[in-house]
Amino acid sequence: MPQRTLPDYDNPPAQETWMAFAFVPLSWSVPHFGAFWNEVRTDYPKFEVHPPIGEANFEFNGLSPQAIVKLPVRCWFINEESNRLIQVQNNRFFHNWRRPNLDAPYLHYAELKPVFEREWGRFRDFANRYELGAPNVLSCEVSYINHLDKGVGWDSFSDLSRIFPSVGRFEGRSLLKKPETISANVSYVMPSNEGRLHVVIQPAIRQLDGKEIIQLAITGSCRPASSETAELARCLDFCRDWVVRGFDELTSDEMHKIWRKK
Amino acid sequence: MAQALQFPNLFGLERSRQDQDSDSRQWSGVRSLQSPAWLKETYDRISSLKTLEENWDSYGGLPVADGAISITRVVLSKLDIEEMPKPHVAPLPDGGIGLHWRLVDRDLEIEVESNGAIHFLRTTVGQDSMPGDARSLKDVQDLLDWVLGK
Repeated sequence: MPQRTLPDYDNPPAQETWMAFAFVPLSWSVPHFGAFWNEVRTDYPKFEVHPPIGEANFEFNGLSPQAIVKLPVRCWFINEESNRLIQVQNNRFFHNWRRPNLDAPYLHYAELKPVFEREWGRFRDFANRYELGAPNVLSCEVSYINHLDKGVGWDSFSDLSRIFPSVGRFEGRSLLKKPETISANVSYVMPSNEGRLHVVIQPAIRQLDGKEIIQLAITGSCRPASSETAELARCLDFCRDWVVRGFDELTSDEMHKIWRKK
Repeated sequence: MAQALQFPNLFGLERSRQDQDSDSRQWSGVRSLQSPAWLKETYDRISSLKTLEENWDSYGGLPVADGAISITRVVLSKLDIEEMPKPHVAPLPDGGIGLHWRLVDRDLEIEVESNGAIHFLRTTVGQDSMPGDARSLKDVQDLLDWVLGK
């Protein structure tokens, strides 16, 4: 099968990317966070505790002879440079990469995917050794967060069609003039594996420098046929393929020139 | 007003508020420009101050410094301001930016200098005004909470 060449850019607006697996909940409890951190602490010396993603049930069985509490928690393990992050909860595993500063070079999928696979392998091995079982993966996710700075190809939200040619001007016949802001939340069906491509366009302020941006988040997700390593890798590639092609199709030639499309 | 104190490191400020709900997978910090509803209008007002030229007030007022603009933007992006009314934004003669809130009997003026120093003047109607310096985002957040009576 001939390898398809995906669109590529010298100066893409990607600020952050992540890959993730969601799986059937493990019998994961608070001590496992510490034990897992102990294994990755050399590479991820910092941590934060966050609420979990998805539905979270706080369980407290006070009637049993020994009261049992299950705390819904997601732990972040962050590397020293604060540009890579592992997120762990009882039914999800993420690896995020972000630009540590605005001038830092973009790290490509070809460099990040092996890192994700390595860290997933560590997590899976940990789960096996602690008799939590092999994670049964329910979905794969690949996401790119893009920051489109005001003044670089757009100046107001009435310019949105300069970035996204398919977006209208949202002006009324007489009463409604130029919109102050516009946001959008769009999904597309991917042809197999119950996949979806989610596109979120949001006016935002980047807290790093206080600049106005349009945040364009594109996430591909799909259900793997099995939890085998090769199938998971194929699903990641499939999602990433849709994210990159979706980004290219939704955005204008004018912006592609700014991002120096190859 | 007391001697100005400078923020030790603007970009190392603690994260006071991030527009990430508990379901967020995202790491890089952003705040929606749509909440509170006045935020976009206030940002536009702050941006418009760039166009002021020297002597804009006929009293030798300096142009608003880029540093004051970016610091004001960063500070607003990191504070919990959902319940605050829209501030009055004004240029200051020394090139800084003033933010002014008034709620019932409480009045707060915050002055952002181009070097990152933040001064404040808080007043309760019928009482003496209290000037001071904000040394961190938490200090600024405490002042906003005071305006709201929290």
